[in-house]
Amino acid sequence: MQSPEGITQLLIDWGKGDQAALEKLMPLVYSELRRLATNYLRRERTGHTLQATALVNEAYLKLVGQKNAKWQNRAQFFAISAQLMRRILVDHARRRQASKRGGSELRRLSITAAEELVKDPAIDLLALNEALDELAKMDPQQSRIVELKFFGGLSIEETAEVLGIGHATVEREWKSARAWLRRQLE
Amino acid sequence: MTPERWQQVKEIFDSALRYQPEQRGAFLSEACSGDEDLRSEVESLITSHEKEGSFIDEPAYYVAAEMIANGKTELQSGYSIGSYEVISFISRGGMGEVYLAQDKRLNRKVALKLLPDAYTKDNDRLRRFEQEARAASALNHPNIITIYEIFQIGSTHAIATEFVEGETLRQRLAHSRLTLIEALNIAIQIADALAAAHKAGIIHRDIKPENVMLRPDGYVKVLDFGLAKLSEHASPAVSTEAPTMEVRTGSGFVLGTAGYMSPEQARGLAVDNRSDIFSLGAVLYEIVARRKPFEGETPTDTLAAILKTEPPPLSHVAPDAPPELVRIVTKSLRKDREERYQVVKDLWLDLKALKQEMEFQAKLDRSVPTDNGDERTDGFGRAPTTTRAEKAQHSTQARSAVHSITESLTIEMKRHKFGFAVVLAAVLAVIALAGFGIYKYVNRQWPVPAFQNIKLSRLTNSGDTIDATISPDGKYIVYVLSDRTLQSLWIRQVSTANDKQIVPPAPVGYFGMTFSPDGNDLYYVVKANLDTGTLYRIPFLGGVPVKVLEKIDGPVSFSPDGKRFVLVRGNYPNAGESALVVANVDGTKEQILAIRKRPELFSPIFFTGPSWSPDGKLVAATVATSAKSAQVVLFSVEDGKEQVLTREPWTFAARVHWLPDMSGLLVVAGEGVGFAQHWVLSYPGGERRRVTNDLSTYRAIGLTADGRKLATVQLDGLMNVWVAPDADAARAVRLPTGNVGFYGAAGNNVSWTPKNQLVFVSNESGMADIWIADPDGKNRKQLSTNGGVTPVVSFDGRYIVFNSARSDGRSIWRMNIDGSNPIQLTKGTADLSPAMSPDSKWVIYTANDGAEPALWKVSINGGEPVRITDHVVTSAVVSPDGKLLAYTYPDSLDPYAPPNRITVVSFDSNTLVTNFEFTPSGTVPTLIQWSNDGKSLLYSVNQYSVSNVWAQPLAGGPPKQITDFKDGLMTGFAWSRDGKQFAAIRGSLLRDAVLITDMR
Repeated sequence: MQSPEGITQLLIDWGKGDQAALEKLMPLVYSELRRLATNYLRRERTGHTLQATALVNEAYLKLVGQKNAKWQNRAQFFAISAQLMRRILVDHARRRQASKRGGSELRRLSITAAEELVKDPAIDLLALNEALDELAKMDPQQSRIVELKFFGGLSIEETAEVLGIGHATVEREWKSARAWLRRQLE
Repeated sequence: MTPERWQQVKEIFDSALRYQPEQRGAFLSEACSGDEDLRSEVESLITSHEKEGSFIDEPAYYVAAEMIANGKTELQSGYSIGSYEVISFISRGGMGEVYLAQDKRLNRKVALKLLPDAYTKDNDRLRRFEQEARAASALNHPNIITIYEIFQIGSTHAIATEFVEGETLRQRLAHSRLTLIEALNIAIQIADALAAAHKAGIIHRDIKPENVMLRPDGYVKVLDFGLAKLSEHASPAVSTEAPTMEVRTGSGFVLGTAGYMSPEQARGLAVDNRSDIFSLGAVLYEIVARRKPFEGETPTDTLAAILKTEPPPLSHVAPDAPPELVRIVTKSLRKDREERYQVVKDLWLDLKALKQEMEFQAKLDRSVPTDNGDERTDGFGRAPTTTRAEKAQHSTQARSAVHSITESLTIEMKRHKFGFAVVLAAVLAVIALAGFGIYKYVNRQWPVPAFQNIKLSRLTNSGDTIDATISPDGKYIVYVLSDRTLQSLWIRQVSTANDKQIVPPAPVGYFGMTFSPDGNDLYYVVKANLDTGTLYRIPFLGGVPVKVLEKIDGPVSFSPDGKRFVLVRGNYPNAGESALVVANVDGTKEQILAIRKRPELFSPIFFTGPSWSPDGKLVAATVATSAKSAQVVLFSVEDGKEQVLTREPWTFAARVHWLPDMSGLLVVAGEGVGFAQHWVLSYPGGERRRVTNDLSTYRAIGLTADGRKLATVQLDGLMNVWVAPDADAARAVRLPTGNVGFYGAAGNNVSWTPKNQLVFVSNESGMADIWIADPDGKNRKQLSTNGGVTPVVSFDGRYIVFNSARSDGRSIWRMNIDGSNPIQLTKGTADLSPAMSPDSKWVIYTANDGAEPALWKVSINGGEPVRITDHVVTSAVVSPDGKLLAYTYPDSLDPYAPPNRITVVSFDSNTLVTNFEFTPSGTVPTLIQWSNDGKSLLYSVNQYSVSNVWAQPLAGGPPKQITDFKDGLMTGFAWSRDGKQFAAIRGSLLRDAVLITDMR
């Protein structure tokens, strides 16, 4: 496993725009999240819901270490987690779409988490993904806000902290971004 | 929409929302001032905004996290892809997900691979891949997987292939150890598949254990021909035939395996058949050695290793590999493809011939009774009449006789088919006779001594296993994992390689694990600090630890009846003393068996401990008689009477363990802690014999009840030369020099010449020797040839003074700057850490042999040495003006204690100038150097396996950190004379559990 210093360095490199650093980080973050999430679900199967931010925070501390934990890096870590979630969900949606197109009378769709991916069934994740890419071209910050909030599960306040901007700004930007995306998807 | 336009739109949108709906019309009219498009854009956004429903307010994250946790990102059973229905998920790799599926048209099972989208966007590449994959499949070779269909559904590309029952070679390697014959079987079949493909002009490009399926019936199937084509980028500057492998995967979930690429592939050059030969060589190496030939922390490091580093010699990592196999693998792994096998068929032939020979020998061996137990009990007690060498010679002769007879008979058989049965009977008779001949020789031998023929296999490879032992029945290994400040205790079932944590990570040290003789309980010592430990007992398959005894400094050893144990206590009963203590296993009825006073002591260091003899009468323990001399002493349990068993002492001896038949003891010992190997010390003769003899270092001993399996910990280092301009860690570059090993790197192994060339130690030539190079690694040249470490270039640039073991013992040598005219300057057996005075007249060094280890100096021209100190010194340096001498030393009675003080004295008069204390480092000793201006002392500080250089101003005040490395241990450093370049030996220490099996 990468040392905490190594991970911190990768976060810094990524912060400086090194995409290769992100590719190295992703599997580490993924496996740590997976490990933690499994533990949570095992322990808290009933009752509690999984606190996304708590999970990411714990993964961050585990990977980076309390000693090395710096705010800036933590923010990047949340951003990476959000990107990771986006990839997982979108990839999955793509697969699902592929399998449905080739469907036949023999298909027995089992109900899985995938079927409940998004509480609002009207959302087409693939279309959302494409629209979000479009939005990024017009307004990268708005696209990041949506990524952090929707895919990363962060609150307005957390999103503001991660991006280093005010709450009011996030709230305002979120409204117009959300309205634009919603219109694009219709 | 342009970003500018969008800014405008969203500003108006934001403002509009602040108005009551009925006032918005008026606001918009004004704000958009006639731009109707703008107005309708904003209005449609407002409509969207005010719609019912949550849209994306609820995060998708929760479900995603659950999906991750459940691993449910895969398709579930019942999903359909084209005419295939998913039965189950098989695996996920860099090149996509694989499912077991049912082809509903043809009603057969297939393996369905869904390719990652990232690789299927380029149509050209996709077509080339398809072409090649189909061509390979069309060969209809038994070892090449058959492709049924390559197709596309939506944006997803998929391949349906023959479904192979079994597991991948990677999976097999993870849980079981393959025999050499099995390894050859697999390699031969891969080679066969490659030979057929190459003949058809197809290169695989990605031979690795993940791409080799093993069927339960022994058939091997090579997967993914041509698939590597998909992950190549076409480089615009070069032709498309010069691809570069993408090390990372498109999805980013799995790091690609770079470890099997050929050097030309790693360089992004055009590849040919010989690239596959290299990869197959790497796979074969891994099967046999149980470790990858090229490894690095990141794929980039791995690629660098492929390009520059030779893998650890196979004969070293797999001592049981026959020389012919070593030759074959080495030839396949040549970096220059011109030196490799040129066609895979030649490799195939060599593998096949070797396999036949080994099978034949195995058949012979089976026909020879080998039960040593019978030999020992037949009670003739005859003196041996033939030596082992003779016996081996006889066996070989008998074997080759049988070989040639069988061969000629086989030819006969072909000629006279009718006589087949008769001939077969004749063959069997000959084999039986030959066997009888060998049997006679074998029976005339004494039993083979313990651990004479050994097999060494690796149990862990994480690099952080610091202690290990084995259960009396040999079924379980218990080991300690060290994660920086935390250690945890683990158990592994050897047969299944199942690991379970038995004591969770804690900020303490675990030492001295010992099984109770019945194998039910595990005893271990916990040390929360270096002072003293507490003994605990835990049911070894899990349970609650129970405290047994306090103030203990190493492992316990049980009496044969399991009722008592013996242990060592340091500083007991009085300070400066150490004692061998016997107690009941519940910790009661303590009784002192023997006491040692300084300077003698029972080595109360972590990995040592006494051993109670199998007959119950004796306790063996190592005693350090002076700082650097150690003996094994036997104590009578009844009356404490003692007897020195060793005929000649070692410099360092740690743990001892009786062999169950009391023919001797296993001892971890050597010429210093860094040279500790396993030995057998005979009883009662006291003769020593090596068990291991390699470049690693060993520490623990865990022995099974039958005395045939020994679990231990092997230490190795990965240490390289780095150069950093202005000591800036961010700009540090690793020079392409060989790994120096961990203990090989002990002491300062870098020095600069006045012309800013770097003199350093490298084992590139197979042994640690002194080299010179430019600071960028160019013009590299070997200077010493018979072994040399810790080089120091004289200030006038004429000489290099160094340490070498080329004569008896380790002593100080001098050679000219070009490596010529080596001269021995000292005659000690452990003269270490040379340094020089700026006038180039004196060599300062530490003598660690004899009763009084101290700092000495000798003229650059040799002669009588002069003693400087009357106490132990770890390393010393003279100031740039030649007036001061600074040295480090341990402020402790314990001869193994790391240095914790720097003293500065006047070089001429030896009068004290100043003294500083620093935090001692457990992992590598602290090194000092003078700053070029002579105003500060620079020394290395290790924190959690990361070393940096700190400066202590001579004038006093707090030390200051000057380098900022984020990882790596540093064992040596030096600034260039112009102060512009900083060189260091940096790297990591790897500690892993290994199993040594007595192959008698």
